[in-house]
Amino acid sequence: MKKKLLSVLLTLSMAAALPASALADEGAALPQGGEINIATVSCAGSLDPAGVAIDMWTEYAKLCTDGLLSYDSDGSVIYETAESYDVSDDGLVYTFHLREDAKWSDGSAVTADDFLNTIHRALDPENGGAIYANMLFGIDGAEAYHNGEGALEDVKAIAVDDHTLEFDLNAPCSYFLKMMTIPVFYPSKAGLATNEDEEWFKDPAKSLGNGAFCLESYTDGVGYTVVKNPYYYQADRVNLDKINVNFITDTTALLAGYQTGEMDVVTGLPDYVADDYTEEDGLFIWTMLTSKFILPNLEVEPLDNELVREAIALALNREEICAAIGNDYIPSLNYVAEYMLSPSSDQYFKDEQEPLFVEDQEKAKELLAEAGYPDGEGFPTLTYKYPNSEKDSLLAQGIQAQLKSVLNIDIELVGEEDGVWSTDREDGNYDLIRHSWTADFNDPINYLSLYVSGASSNYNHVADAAYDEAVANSNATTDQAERDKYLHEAQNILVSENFYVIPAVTQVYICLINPNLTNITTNDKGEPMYRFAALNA
Amino acid sequence: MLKYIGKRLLFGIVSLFALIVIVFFLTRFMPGNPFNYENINQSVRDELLSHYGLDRPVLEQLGVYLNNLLHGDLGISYKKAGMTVNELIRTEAPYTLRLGVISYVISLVLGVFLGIRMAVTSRESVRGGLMAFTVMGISIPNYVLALLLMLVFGVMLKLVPVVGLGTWKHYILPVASLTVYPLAQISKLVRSSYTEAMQQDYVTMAKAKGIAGRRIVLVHILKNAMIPVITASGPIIAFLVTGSFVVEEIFTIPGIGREFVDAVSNRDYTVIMGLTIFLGITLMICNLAADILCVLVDPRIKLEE
Repeated sequence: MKKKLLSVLLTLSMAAALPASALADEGAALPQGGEINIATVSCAGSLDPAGVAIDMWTEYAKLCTDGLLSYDSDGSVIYETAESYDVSDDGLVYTFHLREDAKWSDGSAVTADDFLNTIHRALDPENGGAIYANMLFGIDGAEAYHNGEGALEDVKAIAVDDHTLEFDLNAPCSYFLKMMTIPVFYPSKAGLATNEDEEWFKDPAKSLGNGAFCLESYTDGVGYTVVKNPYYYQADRVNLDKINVNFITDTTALLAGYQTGEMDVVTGLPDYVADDYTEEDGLFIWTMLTSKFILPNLEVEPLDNELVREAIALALNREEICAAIGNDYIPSLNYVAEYMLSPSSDQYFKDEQEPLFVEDQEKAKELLAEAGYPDGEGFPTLTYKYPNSEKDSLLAQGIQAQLKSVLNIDIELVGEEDGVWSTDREDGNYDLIRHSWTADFNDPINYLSLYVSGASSNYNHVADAAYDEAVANSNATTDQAERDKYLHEAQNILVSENFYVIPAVTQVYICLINPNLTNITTNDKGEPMYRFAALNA
Repeated sequence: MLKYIGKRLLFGIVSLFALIVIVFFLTRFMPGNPFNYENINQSVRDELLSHYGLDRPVLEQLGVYLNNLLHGDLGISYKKAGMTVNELIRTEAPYTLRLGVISYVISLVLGVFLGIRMAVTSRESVRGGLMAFTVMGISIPNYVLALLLMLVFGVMLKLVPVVGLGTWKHYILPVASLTVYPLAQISKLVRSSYTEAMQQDYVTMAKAKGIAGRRIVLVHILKNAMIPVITASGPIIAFLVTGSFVVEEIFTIPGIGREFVDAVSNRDYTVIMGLTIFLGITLMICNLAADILCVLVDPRIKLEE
């Protein structure tokens, strides 16, 4: 079973992560019209890019909102509202030139002010919901204004004219363009989307689209409907008339909805679906940019010893563990997500270097002996905390069994409800804990910045001067190849040299897409995109 | 009578207050908070907590909450952007209540009918078959039944849709999953009270007076046999509202049951509180109404007892 999925995966990655039936086919005439139903597993958040722009926004933005620029599955730039951009020689000023034919769904022009509308609303000190506001802090004056210490006029995101948008940065940021796919850099119609009206995004008259589709109706708890945006500058490439997005949280219901034909697209299915379906029946593997790893508590004995952490990392046979968990879990020796593209080549980041370490059970035993615990003698029982899901329990049991058989050490498993687990992680109340991170944007820095000394999400208090320096160096250079080198150096310090984090697995999302739906593309995060999809009758 | 209702309402308010305070503390002492998004920077999370005043002492938070509650304000949802809890209940309770009422009416009518059949039939096979049905109906949990119905009638036979509540057809499976348990319960109750009532003196007298058999069955006996059903209706309606938790989740119905489950796992404190209060009031009214109805049907029952 496992093998089958891996071969599917391989084929997919070779075909730029696209099932054959869905390969973009620009030449042939595509069927026009039609209506499809998409199910989204999470209705968390809102449709406001300056608000809690998480799962729900992500799905919506793929259909209805064009940003400045985005990236395709190879990591190449797709110019959306921006036609071009300039960067000053010192790397401090980014100027975007907006296309003049970009229109909102009411026919009005998309201007630089609409981009500023989102940025200003996200930074508004009164706006408590803007979860990505901190991603704007590279812009001069943004952090001060957000913290209530500066003025809006001093935020150096500037509309030079209707079609020119300028960002003045407080320091060179070599990944600034990568950040353009973060919600706060997407436009919202100035004058209609306001912080005073917290529900503007539910009202189709205010919640305008500047993408392929635009909102027609929104029903709380049920879903929303989008229709083709007649004013879209690429309207001739949009084939579907209407897309209904439904909120379905139960995975059994998701699958049943696809089987009855009520849903055309369902994501986040149980792993056995990958055994029961083939590409021809619509199986689609979403190679997410996510990484699940073990966080050792560096303040607890004996995990404060690098040899012990390394022994644990080397002792695990991840292939075997994943075989027990299911098709959607894939072994990973990397901290940065497996499918993260390199910033300087067209390879995956992980493929640019030798593996960070090699699983080696004999060496693991030696390391543990060297640390003073030959054959696990005198080694205290450690707790391993994990969220109480079926998959995580299997992962935990795999880790426990292997550490016992290889190193002869005892791990006490503590499965916790999500909220409890997350609180324990914040409070440092664990020996070992399962952690994970999913990329906000496609660049390794999004992972590596988390463990800089004093960073707020640095839960196990990594404090390593060499690591901090490597990350700082990567931020300081504009040469992507040199930057890439520093990022690898940082990951080496974090994993191979110190094992501050212990990589374990990565996860893919198993999806089913109606085989009659064609011309689906994927973006740089492996997500399926339906904006130009067509439905065969 | 009025004095009794007044007294019950007063007790209701006191227990509601106790419920609010206890649930408030329970939610705050649950580890975790509403902003535990899997992928969020710790500094952003801290900022969100302080923005919503969740970093203040619990007693202060309770004071603020109770004060707002006195003005009829249940607060805003921490998870659903721009949504007040009042609005949430207003938009989502109708789905749950509609499902509940339909299921209740069906189980009442069918349950009484089946109960009488079981009591009066002389054919062992009918009685045995119906008994088997009621035992199964009471034993199968509604989420198992819901999944089974979904698989058979939705996925395999493709007779009915399984997602949402768009058309009347969408109601068939959720209502069926919700109805079976109360239906079985009511028919069992009716059967036993009916069997007992059939042997009462007034039945013999009615027969002696030459009243038609059907009239005795449907009017004289039924009126007396219904009392246990009315008493049980309070808890049954409670079951239908709370029992819809899983059924709503399975059939993707945006009712308050599903909201409640989501709110607890999301630590959406205000929504948990609001729905607790809403369900508490619903239960109190149902129980009170059932008690009053009993008196109206049977003058022998005294409310003050």
